[in-house]
Amino acid sequence: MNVKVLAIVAVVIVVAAGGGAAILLMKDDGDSKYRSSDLSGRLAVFGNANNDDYLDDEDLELVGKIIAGTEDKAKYPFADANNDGNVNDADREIIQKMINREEMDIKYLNGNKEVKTVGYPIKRAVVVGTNATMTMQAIGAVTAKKIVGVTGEASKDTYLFSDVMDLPKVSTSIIAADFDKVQEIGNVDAIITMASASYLKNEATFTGAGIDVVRISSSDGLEAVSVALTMGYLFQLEDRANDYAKLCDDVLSYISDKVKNVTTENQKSILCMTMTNYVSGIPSDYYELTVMVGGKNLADWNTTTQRFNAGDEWLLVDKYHADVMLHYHQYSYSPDYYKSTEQKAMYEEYQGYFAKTQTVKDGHYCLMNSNMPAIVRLAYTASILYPDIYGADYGDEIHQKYVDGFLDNLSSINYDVTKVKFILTDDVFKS
Amino acid sequence: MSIDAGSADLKEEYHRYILRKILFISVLLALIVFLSLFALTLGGREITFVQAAGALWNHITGNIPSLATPEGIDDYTVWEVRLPRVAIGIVAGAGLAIGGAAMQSAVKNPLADPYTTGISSGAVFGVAVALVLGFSVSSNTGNYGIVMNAFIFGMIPVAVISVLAKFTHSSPATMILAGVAMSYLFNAFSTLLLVAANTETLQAAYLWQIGTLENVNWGDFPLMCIVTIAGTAVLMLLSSKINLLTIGDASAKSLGLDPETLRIVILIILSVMTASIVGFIGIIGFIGLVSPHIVRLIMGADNRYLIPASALFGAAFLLIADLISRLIIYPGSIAVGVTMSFIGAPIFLFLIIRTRKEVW
Repeated sequence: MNVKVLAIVAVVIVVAAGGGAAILLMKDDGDSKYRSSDLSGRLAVFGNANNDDYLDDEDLELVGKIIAGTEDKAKYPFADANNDGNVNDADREIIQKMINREEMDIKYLNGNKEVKTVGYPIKRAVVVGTNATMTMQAIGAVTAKKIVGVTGEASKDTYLFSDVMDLPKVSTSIIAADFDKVQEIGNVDAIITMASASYLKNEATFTGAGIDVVRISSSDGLEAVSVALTMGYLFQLEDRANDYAKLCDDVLSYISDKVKNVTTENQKSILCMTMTNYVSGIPSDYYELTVMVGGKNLADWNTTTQRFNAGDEWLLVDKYHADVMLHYHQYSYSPDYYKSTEQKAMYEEYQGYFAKTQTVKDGHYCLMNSNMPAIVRLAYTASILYPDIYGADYGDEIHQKYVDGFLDNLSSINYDVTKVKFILTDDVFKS
Repeated sequence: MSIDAGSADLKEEYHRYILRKILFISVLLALIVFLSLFALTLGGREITFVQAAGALWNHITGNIPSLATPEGIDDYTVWEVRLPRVAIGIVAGAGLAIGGAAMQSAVKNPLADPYTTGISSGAVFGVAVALVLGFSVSSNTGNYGIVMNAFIFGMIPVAVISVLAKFTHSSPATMILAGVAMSYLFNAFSTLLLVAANTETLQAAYLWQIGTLENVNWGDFPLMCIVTIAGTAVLMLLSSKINLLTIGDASAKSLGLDPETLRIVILIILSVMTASIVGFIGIIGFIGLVSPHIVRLIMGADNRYLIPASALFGAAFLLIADLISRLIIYPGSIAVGVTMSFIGAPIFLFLIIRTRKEVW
């Protein structure tokens, strides 16, 4: 055979094989996009029949099975898309529309676990409350210009909230919105606020004018994942919300894997504090976070907090002598604030509330910035308690991922979390 | 001749006295109407006086424009946002002022006001129970639950004082002291609950205490209005008898009155009125204390005129305070309870300095 022809055939075979491999690999990359296996109903919209994190054909399939009687509808409350108590073709129709992402009214579970209706998708929203504003940042609603107004106090930390500073302010209070000011903004679809009744007391005024009010969980714990997924769906920012869920799932998976290395011999005891001199009890979200990473939380009371006033002695007994005291407090993300006299004064003030405890005297007091989301605080708690198990820099690592992925205003200026301390200790101010 | 001249002088003075009263009430009525209409035009959305009046007329004639139009938004803003604030301000101001007038006459004490019986402390405790423990006397655990708690718990100190007064035949001074004791007791209960609360709950409880007309809506109006009107009507019917209380219990008894029972009845009526107001808008001080004093300077101490005039004055006073609250840091606003304290305290001090004992 002609050598030239053989060479050409060989080249063709190699190119074809290489191209085919490339196509297969690229296809695999697309298919290996993160898909959570959580089935606890984090995406709290009616229509998410199978309780996973996605609104897709699998939900239709399940509804079909429920209608056929091969699945029990009691196990899948979200299958009842119109919340009329039955699962039937009407629900199938609604779910199909939801999968098609058509404009429609959708039922969902709000932060108070109430079934509410909201117009989908939310294109223009006003946010009432600092935590609600942070959630909107995380799912990308601010960057996507879907947030058109905030409350005045949302700009408390002008660094962290630099992307909402120029938005119209609808109130001077963080828990209220003035109807006139919202009307001035115009064409507002919804007000996003916290679940607590003290927020947005004039809810009826807005709903009466056709503006939906969406209340999200006030929890300081890991309910934030459900909030992000649900809001991400309602705002049509599902990819970003799923990325957030992935970050949280990765951290939880890492922690549940590593926590097996915590034994009774190396277990560290901890107490958490909040506000000024309140020590968190068993029902608090902070307690849950410390236990998740393998800490032994010494709090044994069934109220959310217990106060330790000047002159009190109850915390000074041996049973509350913790290896670490972790105090949560909000402070600025600004690098200018770091190591300023103001920050030192703040640290000394908050440490001072517990100065008489042995833990503080031993130098094991930490002040953590509670502006960080729960998943980041979880990572920092792990690295504080067990640096050898989780890694001393694990908190910073996760925090940097959070900033890079979910705080567009900070990632755009290459914000480096290691340049600012989010865990303050005595050593920070000595160096 | 001199008797005729004296009689003519007396008649003239009497006419002037009546004219002064009529003029005072007319001015107050006109002021209330003017302030109400001005308040309807005040807000972030520009609505003129004519547009505001037009919106009211639309609702009277049933010709309400669609919310999808700018006229519809104007109408909604006037009728659903601004008018409830005005209406509730009028009712609350009137109710608290009447409460103060009745209370001061009933216990013969110029320092008495509707909160003397401990209603405010009881209401704050009810709010704390709702916010901290999540317990409400109604099945609703949201804002309505807080309101009902404030109302019901606000009545507890009054109930205790009424029972005590009935069985111990307490004097007015004793009733006031009992009210002070109840205030301290319920304040202590509230502190016990709030001391273990988180920041959000503390803030909510504190803000509730300040007293504000923000966030009110038509749903808050009926109960407050019905109770205030009913209470006012009953107090008006009793006004002649209330006058007798001011001359002393012994004299009142000699004229066939049972002062102790009447005092308890007055206490219960004004407490229900006050609780119905405080439950929805929080604690607004000084109206009940100052309004009757100012009205007495012009109308005298006759409760047949004092009570209705105090109602009008209280309504106008609260409307003025609310407008100041909204204008002082416009477009922001401060709680009317704060403004009222800033206005009321200097006025009260002035009245104390210029006080004329003969009105008592």
